[in-house]
Amino acid sequence: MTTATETIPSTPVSRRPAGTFLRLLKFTAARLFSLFVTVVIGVFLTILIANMGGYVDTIRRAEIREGIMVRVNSTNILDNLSAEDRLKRIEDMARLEEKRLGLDQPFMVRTVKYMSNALTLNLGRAQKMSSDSGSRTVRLIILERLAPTLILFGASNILLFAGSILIALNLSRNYGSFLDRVIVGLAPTSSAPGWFYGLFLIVLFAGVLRLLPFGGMVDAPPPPNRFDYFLSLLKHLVLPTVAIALSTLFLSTYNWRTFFLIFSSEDYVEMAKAKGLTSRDIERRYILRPTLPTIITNFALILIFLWTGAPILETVFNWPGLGRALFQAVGLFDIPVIVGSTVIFAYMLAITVFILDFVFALVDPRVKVGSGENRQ
Amino acid sequence: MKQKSFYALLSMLVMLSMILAACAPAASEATEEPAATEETAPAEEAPAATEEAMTDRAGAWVDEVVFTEENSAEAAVSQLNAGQLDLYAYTVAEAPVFETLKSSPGLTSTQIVGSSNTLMMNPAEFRDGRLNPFSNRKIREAMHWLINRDYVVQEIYKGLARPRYTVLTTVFPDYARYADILRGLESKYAYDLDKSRETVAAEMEAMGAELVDGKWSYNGEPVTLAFVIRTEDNRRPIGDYIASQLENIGFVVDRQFKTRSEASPIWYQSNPADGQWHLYTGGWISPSIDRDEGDQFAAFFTAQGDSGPLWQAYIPAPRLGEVALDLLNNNFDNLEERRQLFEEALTLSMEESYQAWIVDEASFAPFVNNLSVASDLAGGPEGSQIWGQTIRFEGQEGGTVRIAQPGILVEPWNPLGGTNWIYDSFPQRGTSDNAVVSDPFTGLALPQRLERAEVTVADGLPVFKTLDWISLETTDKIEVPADAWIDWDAVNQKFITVGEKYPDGLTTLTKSIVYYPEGMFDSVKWHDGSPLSAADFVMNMIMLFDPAYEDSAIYDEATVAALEGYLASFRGVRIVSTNPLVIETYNDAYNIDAEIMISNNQVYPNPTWWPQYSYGEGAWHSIALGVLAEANKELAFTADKADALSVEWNSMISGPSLEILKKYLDQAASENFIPYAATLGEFVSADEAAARYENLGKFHAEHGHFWVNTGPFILDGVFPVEGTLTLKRNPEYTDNADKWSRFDAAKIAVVEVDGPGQVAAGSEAVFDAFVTFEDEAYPSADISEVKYLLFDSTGALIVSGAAEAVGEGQYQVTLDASTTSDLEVGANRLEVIVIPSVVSIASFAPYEFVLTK
Repeated sequence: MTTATETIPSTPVSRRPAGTFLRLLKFTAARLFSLFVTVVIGVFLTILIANMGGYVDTIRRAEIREGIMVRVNSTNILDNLSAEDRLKRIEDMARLEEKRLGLDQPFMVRTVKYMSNALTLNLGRAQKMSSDSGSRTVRLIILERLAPTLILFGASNILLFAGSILIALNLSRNYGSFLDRVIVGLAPTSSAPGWFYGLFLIVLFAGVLRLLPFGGMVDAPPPPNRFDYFLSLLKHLVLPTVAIALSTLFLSTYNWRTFFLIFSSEDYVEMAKAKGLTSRDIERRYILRPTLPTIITNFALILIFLWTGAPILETVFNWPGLGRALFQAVGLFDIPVIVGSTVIFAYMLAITVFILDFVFALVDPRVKVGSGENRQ
Repeated sequence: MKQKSFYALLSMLVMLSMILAACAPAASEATEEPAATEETAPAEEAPAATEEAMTDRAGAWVDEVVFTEENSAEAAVSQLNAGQLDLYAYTVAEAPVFETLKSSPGLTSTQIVGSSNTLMMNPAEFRDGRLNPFSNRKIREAMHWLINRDYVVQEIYKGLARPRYTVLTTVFPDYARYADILRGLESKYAYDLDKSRETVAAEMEAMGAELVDGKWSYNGEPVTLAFVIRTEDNRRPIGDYIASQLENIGFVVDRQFKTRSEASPIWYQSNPADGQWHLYTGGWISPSIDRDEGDQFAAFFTAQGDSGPLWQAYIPAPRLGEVALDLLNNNFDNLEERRQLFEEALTLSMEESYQAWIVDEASFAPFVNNLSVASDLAGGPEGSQIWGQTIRFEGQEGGTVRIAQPGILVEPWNPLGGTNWIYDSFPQRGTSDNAVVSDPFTGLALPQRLERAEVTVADGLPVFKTLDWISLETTDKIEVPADAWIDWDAVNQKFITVGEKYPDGLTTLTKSIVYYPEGMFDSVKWHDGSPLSAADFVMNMIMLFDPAYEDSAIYDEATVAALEGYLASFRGVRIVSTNPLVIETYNDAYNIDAEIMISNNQVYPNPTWWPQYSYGEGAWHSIALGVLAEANKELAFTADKADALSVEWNSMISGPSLEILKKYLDQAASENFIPYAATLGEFVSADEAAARYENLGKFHAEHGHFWVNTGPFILDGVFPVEGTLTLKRNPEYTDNADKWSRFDAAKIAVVEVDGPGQVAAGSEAVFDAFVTFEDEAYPSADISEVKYLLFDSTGALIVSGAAEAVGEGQYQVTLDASTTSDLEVGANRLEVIVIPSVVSIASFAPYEFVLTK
């Protein structure tokens, strides 16, 4: 959880529009530059790590030749050639495949190419993976999986986020109540990941009770009309959503409750109570308002981290999400897919951080964009 | 108090859910004994043909097949138990899953035997002066005695494997053919740790090493073996076991646990002389029954096997190199000579032992009890060419079969250069048909669309036939007719004839003539309703050549190697008649089985010329769309060219390719486009072209794709993101549903031997062998041979011979007085080997008796 960024002016603030504009411009340029440098460094490190500093080339070459050997031996396609011609043809096939994968170019040359393509969002073509519909373009590989990811994690995380904040607010008002103790007691259950609960839920509700499906996004074959498709989708969402909820709801609520409790004991809240304001007014004006930057930051980060998906949970529920696709890309050393998804994530993170600076200034009167010298 | 009650309630709920979870079928504990060894191998529980299939139904038995994805075999078995699946099409080798399967009364499985595991050894001498014990062939040979294969089968595989010693797969025809030789070798190389230790010690000392405190040392340094152990499957515990055995005989072992990607650069790509590794747990897969494993000696024991650095370090004993090449080139005149070559090669290869085979896995594919399907012995249901024709619910016509596999729609589908993933080719086989199909139990080719074939070979070639649909003749000289096509002119889009290329004439070693039945072009239709025609066959011939020539509009460098492979032996093709279709093919390549020469696997190009390309079946008009798109650089058939052009890899079933193909369908329809018109135009009229494109347009409008085949199922729905595809029964399919019903279950024989427990030396002894299948006598007509082997108390082979048939499924072995008088007093073992003709797996039954004075 991040803390609110506060800026307390130490000197009287100039109200001249030109000065404000220049300050804003300077801040924007500096901020954009620093974020861009961060993205560049992040992407460069990703390329280096994903390629194991170039060792993936060695792995690739070995895999290519091993694959060709298996193919040639199992299909007998070159049996009719003389021994020398056969070996020559195997070498030709290996050379062609190396060329296809760009292994005929030095690693550093490819690194620069990856960098420039990534930074210009030219995601290019996957080396080994295909999208579900058979396309080699990284854009489609990611896009096809985006919708299922948003459906599962978007819906469940946003609901959980809103739910946990509302419950936490309620608990902070009713500190020590039975429900409060229940939530506190169940908070440790979040130490287990969602997929862990998923396994139990599948065994219980699909295997034993046979009430819900084992996995997948919809029935097979998918229902032909949209309404039935939607109902089928809802049915398949139940178990993974519950698994995610079990793994995050209680701890998240507990955290927010504690956070709100801290603000609830501020002097100005006590003053508001003493003045006889209603609890709803106190909540809205004296607790939620100062905590808004933190809530917005968390919300923004939740949205961004949807991008990474959840490979194991998706695998357990056979959900066609981004997490599985990226996990597969890592296993296959499919560098364009790894770099493509990373650079999108990096840009999204950078843009979010950039926007949050302005949003904070809008929602919190204490924050002033560009007067960084006074930041705490 | 309230709080305590709440926690108590919570605890009970958690415990209840755990108990329920533990009671679930998928998690049930194994309660039975481990599965038995090879004689009672577990997996042949395929459903029996309980009734004679009698039906008027044409085409597939079932109405629909739905494919989904499931990665976990354990989860799949749970779904099978829950009634949400009917078949899990994957070669499962996990013993705990098999235990679950055995305890599930509603489930059964079919046996799949195409995978083996080996211990690979680095035979090079290291450049840095370190001692490599495995550069010594006697130490390599001693590894056989080090490994207790029965232990591996029982303790690691829990019975789901067969011990394997040699390069020959224990379930393929050559093993059955030479079982007596192999059993002798297996007896010779049976587990003997002391013998292994002694052999290694003698050789290590001879190489200058010494045993210091129980550890081998060389030049003052301990001899440390770098053992690369694969982690993904049973090779991990196998590697651990062998490492422990090596430590037992004095080596220090550096166990390097690695995945395939991590291991490959070390064992396969590095120079063996660099000494990065000593040992590696290798694994091999045979996707189909290999009827001629004679080429395996060259593949695994000579540098010809591969261009990689490891194979280049193989310098076998000269005689092994010679016999390996003789077997590779079928350099023998008759089967007896072949047998002698095998015996020599097997013996020498065991002495060379670049690899020590450990097991053949007996994997399984689980399914529900009331389902039956022809399952390939090596490839499983997913490898069977006739699964679509045979899959059914017993006693029922119609219904929907739900099949899961670990992947689905992995790569684009197109017949020329599309996916070769088994997860894609499995459903493809359901939609396609062929001139011949592979017998799932013997690997022999059977006529499917073909009526008959004639094979003529040059005198002296060792080619033999088994089945009646094919005739085999020999002749002193086969001349290729001058008007036969032998090459392709990509500029003028015309075939080059033998007369043009070889004005002085051309002779060859084999001629195959295939005869398709009268009326085939009226009865066999593509899924879009277009009748099959001779043009589809000619298109196949063209596409063999055209993409590999630089002058072609669709030149693709990736196809050149394969064409060169074809042309090395191809000597021409001639269409003798177009209706009925008769085609002659001339080739210098041959196989010992005449049937295999007319099949798809061994001799290229396939002399049936059925429009079954390397990656699926295709009609000339659907392929034409891809040709147009590739010529205009908008799509490419192969991944290599798609990447080179930065265009989409042609997918005829989904994705961005469909829009492009539709555009070219409209263009082709408007022009009545005939690809390669200079040649194909002789076989297609403009009206026929127009009708075909119209049919394809309607098909695309209905099904949303261009995958048009002639098989028992039509690809009906493709749902890429949802990971599902559906096949619907093809109502136009002409064959009766029961055409291949005899392949419901592999008739793996069960053998029992009875006889005297004690035999007096010098007296005659008679033993009875009873051969059964599903408790019924095994028809003698389905048995090609019953042999016996007699081993003495030391395990040495004393005598072998043929058992005498005395009744249906009953055989007798008689040991005469002189044989028993030659035996040592004590325990002796008689082994009876049954070699059926209808299944490639031989069955064995040992019988022990005591010889007294």
